[in-house]
Amino acid sequence: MQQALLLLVICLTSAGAYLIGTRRWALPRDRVGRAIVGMFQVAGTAMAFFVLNVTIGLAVILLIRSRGIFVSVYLLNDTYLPILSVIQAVIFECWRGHRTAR
Amino acid sequence: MRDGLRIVGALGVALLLAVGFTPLPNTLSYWLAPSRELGPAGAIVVLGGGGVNERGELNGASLLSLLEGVDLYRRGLAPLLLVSGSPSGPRGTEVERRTDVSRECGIPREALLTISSARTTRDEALGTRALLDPLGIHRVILVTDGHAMGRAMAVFERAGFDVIPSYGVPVLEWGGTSEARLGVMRRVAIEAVARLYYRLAGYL
Repeated sequence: MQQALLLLVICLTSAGAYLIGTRRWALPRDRVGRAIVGMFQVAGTAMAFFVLNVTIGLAVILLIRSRGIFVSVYLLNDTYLPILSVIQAVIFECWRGHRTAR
Repeated sequence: MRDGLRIVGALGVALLLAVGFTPLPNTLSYWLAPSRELGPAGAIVVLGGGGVNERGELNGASLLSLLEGVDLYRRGLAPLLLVSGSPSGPRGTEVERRTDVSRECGIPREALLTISSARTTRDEALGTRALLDPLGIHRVILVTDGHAMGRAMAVFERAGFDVIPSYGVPVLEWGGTSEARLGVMRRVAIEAVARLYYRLAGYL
């Protein structure tokens, strides 16, 4: 029930955004597919940043441990790490997009 | 490069939807949980559960696992309760607080053993062996977070113990909100990384 409600809300707001985009802002309908592919690219970049962040975090923790100081690996178990990885990816992709647009 | 990122991104989004809107995490969690009939043992071992908060109180996970251990003791499944925990805390350690709570729950002093210097699951297994080996105890009931049970059991078995998971036979739960399923998947993923690390380090 909860999942169905979430999906319903997402579908309704997406349909609303599509209608406003096509009717009020005259956005081309055939660009929706490209926008989805662009979203996949940002998601992929975010995942790459996340894996990189975790790997470097683990390496730093193991380096500190090798010097006799105990640091828990669970320090990396933080909800903010994936969120910050997404922000990194959006900035990186915007930066790359600007270069291509020049 | 771009195509690769797009494929990875598409797979990631598909996985995110599958995690939130299908029973995939519940099934994975059930599949990874070791199963064994609950029965009598020489001791109940309650592993560290995240420590104490700034007021010196046990955090929720630590208290829950301790109470599970106390309950198993009261059911007569073992004559000893061994509690472990983080060796540091702002106002007392996890072991000290767990000892206090166990005593308040009616566990006799002579039935209570503690490990106060272990920082990892492997340290806890070695500490448990040092305490229980001289008593001739080799079968234990292990209490820990369900997702960590597979790795913890393997480490304790490697230390020479015959291990029974505290929950006995796991139950497959299909329900849960999308957020709860995401939480389950997160713990499964963390445990997978921990298991990989233990394997690479030669602990398993």
